[in-house]
Amino acid sequence: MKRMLVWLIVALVALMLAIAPGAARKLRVVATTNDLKWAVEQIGGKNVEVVALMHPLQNPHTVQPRPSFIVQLNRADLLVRIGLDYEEPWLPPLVEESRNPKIRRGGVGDVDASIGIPLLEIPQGRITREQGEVHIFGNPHYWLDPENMKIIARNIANGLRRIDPANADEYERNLKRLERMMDDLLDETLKLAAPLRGEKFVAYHTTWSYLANRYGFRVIGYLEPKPGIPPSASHLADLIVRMRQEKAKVIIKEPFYENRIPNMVAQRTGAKVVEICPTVGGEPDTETYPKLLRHILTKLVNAVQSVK
Amino acid sequence: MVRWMLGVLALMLFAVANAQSSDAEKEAELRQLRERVAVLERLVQTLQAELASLKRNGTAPSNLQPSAIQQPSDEERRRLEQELQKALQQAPPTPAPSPAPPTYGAVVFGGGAYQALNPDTSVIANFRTAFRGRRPFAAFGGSEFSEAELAFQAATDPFSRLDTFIAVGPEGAEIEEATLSILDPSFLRLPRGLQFRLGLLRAPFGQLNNIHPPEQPFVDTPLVHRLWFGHKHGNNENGNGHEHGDNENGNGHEHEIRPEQIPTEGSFVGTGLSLNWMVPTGKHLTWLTVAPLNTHNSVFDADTRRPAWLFRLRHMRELSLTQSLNLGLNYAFGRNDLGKDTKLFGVDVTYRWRPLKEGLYRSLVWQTEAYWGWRGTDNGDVKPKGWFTMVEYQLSRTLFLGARYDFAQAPDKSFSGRGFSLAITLFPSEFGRYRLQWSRLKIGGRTVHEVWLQTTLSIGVHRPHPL
Repeated sequence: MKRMLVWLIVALVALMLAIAPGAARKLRVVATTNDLKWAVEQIGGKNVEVVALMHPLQNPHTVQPRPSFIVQLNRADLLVRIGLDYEEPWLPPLVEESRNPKIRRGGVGDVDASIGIPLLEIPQGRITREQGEVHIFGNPHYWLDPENMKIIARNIANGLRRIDPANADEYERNLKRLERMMDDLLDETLKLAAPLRGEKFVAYHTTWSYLANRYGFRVIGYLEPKPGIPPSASHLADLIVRMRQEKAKVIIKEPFYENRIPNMVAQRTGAKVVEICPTVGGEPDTETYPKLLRHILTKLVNAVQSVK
Repeated sequence: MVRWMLGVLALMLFAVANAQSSDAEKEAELRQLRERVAVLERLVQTLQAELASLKRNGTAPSNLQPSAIQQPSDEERRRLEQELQKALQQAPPTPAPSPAPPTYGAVVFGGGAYQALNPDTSVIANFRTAFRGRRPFAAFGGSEFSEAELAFQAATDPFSRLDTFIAVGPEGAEIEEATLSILDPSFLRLPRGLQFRLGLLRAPFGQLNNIHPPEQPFVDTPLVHRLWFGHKHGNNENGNGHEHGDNENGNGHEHEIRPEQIPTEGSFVGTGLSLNWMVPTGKHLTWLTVAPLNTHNSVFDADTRRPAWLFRLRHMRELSLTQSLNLGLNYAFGRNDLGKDTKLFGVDVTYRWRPLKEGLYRSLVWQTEAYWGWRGTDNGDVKPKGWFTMVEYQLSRTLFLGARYDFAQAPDKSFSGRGFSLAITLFPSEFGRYRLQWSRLKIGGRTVHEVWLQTTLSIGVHRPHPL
């Protein structure tokens, strides 16, 4: 038995040492969301192959890690994440299990896309679980603002330059191109979203704060009484009264939230429920970030106009 | 005169043209300046935001850290690493005498900024009450039990982390798990696919054993865990006189054992080392774990001189975007309390389903594990077996329904037990859980019903199990 054990260990070590690193190839980038994937593709161009971990229709707060996540993270040269505490429940243990020191916090291949983002809704004072599943660093749904997409892109370009300095100039050129694209997109979408200015909405979750901030509409309340806490009857009653008072006529919900409660509130307030996926690729004709933004704003404008 | 006038006109035209061209230049210059101002404006905004972020986090963003220095290509890097490795292997030069190190008072290291480096701390309070009788609620002579699990977890440096779990109950405090995990063994010049764990570990045997009891889907652990791993040699945990090794042939159990004599929980733990290798198997995930452990329970009585050796091959594959399958093969051998060889073989299967859109409201986990043992005695091998199958279905955002069927023979086959349990669990939030469980147990020919109430509350940070 002892001899067998020794041979087994020797065979395993030999097999491990036999696995040599691969030849020259594209940079492997893992992005946690499709929005980041799109940005990496814009900056990295032909030098990168990118995969997104989360499916756009998945609730980011309840992601069930799949085995392939660890395999992809193990092979990654760069990990691009939304950061703050957006992927906090599930990503850090996977990064540890991936055995890839490059993508660990502070590693050369770790890109926190939130660096430099002017954050909204940073909790003030002492934070406790009484506040629900509160985002302790501020609202992490920051990508739905073209100005923030430019910052995301700069963070990605910095990350790519770190691991692939030979193509630094190309990444810089692509970054400039994306910044111009975002400037044009902002001009275009500000015109498109003009009817939303000053309008009041109700949302299921705090996904839309940055969009509202950029395009001048307000989210006056949420179906969740506190982030991550299921709606209760008393909270919904208060919300319905407020919606009536403030004449909020549109409820925004993401595809991964149930329909029953939004419909219930809509019936009692005469509001319209509009289902919008906040992520690239979650709905038809949203396979790029500019298309996603146009799609979201068009849906909101149509919803506002239909209830007037 | 005409010539003079023509000359003046030409001069005027030249002046106008010159003025126009200088206007165009100025305009171009102005446009350039505007663009530069816009760029600088954005740069200032970005820097302001980065400054705010720095103030907020108290850390430098990764793109400002020294890692921003240009990295060499893979080939160059490998060459450089080899050179450095050789250089490092050479004898170090005799160091020049250095001045005496400065002494620092406690004040220097006692600042508030260092609080940020404190470990993640959490407390999981687990309150359980059992009502036992021949029929549900017929007899309230049950036991009450509660404990708190204290967890301290943090990265020790870029290469390793330390996780410590301490259970505190009415009977005192006990270290449940204390593990140093070497996550990046590059400083030992070993391949990065390897991970080590040292200390008091949960044994890599089966899937459920990796999960701490308060986080498991039932109040109690399956019978096979309770009977095989719930007791420690020479340690009468429940004060009920149920000890092993009190009989020469190891068959000293009373057949009319009462359910109260079987511990509510059993986990296969031991001190030692666990070496885990991520086997490169394409898009699926395979881990091979080898662990020599010093462990004392009803199956093994192993010490550091003769540890029990455990092997686990775990293969995880995705069936689709919403479904995955986890398969495990487990083998262990070592000595038992009679000084004879004991072998264990185990198989585990876990199926998970969570729909994409409705993932917050629906999910299903089905888990089955089966164990076979070969326990050496003076009268030949005893071959006990045990298995359990359980399913947990999510009914709504906060409500889960679970069912479990389990069977186990005592390690010396002196008796066997089977049980059926139903549990309904309410999660009003991620950090609070309330559970009602009914179990029907038939042990040693006697049937007993149990009704459990369990409240599990968590404060602080608690790291979830990844897969």
